[in-house]
Amino acid sequence: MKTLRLALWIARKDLRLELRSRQNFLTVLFFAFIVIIVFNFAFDPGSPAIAEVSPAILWVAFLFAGMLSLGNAFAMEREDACMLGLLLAPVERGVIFLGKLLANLLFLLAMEVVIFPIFVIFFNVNLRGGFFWFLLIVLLVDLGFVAVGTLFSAMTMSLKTREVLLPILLFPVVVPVVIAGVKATAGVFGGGGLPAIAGWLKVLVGFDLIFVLLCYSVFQYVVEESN
Amino acid sequence: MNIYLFAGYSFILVLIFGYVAFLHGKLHKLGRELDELRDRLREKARP
Amino acid sequence: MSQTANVHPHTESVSGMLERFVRANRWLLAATGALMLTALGMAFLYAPREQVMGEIQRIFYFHVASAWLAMMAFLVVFVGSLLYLWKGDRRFDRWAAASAEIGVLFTTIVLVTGPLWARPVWNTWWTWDARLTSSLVLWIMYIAYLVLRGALPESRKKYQFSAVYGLVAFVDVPIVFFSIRWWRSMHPVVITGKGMNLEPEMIHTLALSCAAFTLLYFLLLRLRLMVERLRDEVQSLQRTLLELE
Repeated sequence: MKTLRLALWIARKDLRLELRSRQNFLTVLFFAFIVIIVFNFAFDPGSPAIAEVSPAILWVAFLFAGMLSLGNAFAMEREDACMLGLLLAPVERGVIFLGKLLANLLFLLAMEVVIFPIFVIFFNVNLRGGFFWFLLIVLLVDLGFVAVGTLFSAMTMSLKTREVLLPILLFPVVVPVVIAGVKATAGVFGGGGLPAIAGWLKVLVGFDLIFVLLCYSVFQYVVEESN
Repeated sequence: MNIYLFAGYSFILVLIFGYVAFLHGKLHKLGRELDELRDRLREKARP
Repeated sequence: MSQTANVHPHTESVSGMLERFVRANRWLLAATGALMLTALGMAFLYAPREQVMGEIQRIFYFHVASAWLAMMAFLVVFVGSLLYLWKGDRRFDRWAAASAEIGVLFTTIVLVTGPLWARPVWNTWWTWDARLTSSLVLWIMYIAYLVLRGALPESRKKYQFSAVYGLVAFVDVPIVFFSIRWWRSMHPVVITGKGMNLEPEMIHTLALSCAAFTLLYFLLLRLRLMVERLRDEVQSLQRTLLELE
């Protein structure tokens, strides 16, 4: 339908832009390396504690990538006052949200695709066929994180302190999603199948349903002429 | 009464009264600003 | 100037305003004072000493009452935000702004009295107890609300953005509580939550403390609203001056 096509168009427009590309990737990659290496210094190689902590380390790297991707979400609109142009178009505000959401989500996933193999190598992760569940977890966490993040990103778009403000606004709100993501990932890494993670999946699905809908509905209030 | 209990209740009272004092100060500060603004407005209206 | 009903144009001084406030709220002031003193008295004299925890347990009454007050405050932030988005009346946003500040204040009390209680009883400052951890997240959330407000210049945009955040934050609150509680439930219980032996006198004291703090909330809210209205008055005068220059 028309809404979806419009959203996809907005997403594609965003993804094609250079502002989002190489520099971010490199920064995120570098950070992931640092985090993984430093954490491993804390443990004896092969210590069982590593397996317990590794899901959290993975998600620290993922969330950092998420923050970076969101930080740039409206960078282009900021630079050239394109937001006004976007708003003048006969497009429903919610559609702009969906388009941005999609772009942010894809960008985050792309970075995670790069981080994860590094993580697997250094932590010797054996997914034991739990890869499908892991993928689902990542998708659900990313969706929730990016939904709220896109909304807040638009809110802080025009502020000088946005780089500090966005994390402060975002992290307490996405705590449930972070807990669920880390615990579910730990469940999958530990070899437990669906029973180990079913409850957390429910939390993620519930969160995503509520917040994608909510953020979609209120997005119109944060993109105004004066922004 | 042990030190923790004393610290706890003291903290509560300090915070509550401290907040009231803070609001009180805010009111006075705003009152002064208001007076100053009114004076400036009156001077604009005069000539 | 029609919304700033508590400020008489042109003549009223701050001391006059305060006098009028005390007179208008004298029953609330008296009742709050009386209940607070009674609650304090009950906490120390009426409620018995807890068998296992000892004297420190007496902090429980104001600790829980503070948490109760904070939840009330954040509920008002939510309602104010919702109503502001719906109606656009600045009055609702004022409730939200004032209430958020008070909520953060009392969440701070919860976060400080919690560890003060935990330390002598369980020999650790922070127990990652579900409720305390959730309070921590809430605290950060509403501090973020205040920081957001501080970062935005006075304008409809500020009130609108704050309202959006206020809405989203509160919708999240039950989910935060649930997910943290569930996270905690999976760990072997090393520290037994609030394993208190609850006597009836303790319940009376708790109930009265909560009632006292409820009145305290409304008193503080009204005072804080007066400040907010004055700020609006200053704002509108500044704008008028700017237009004339």
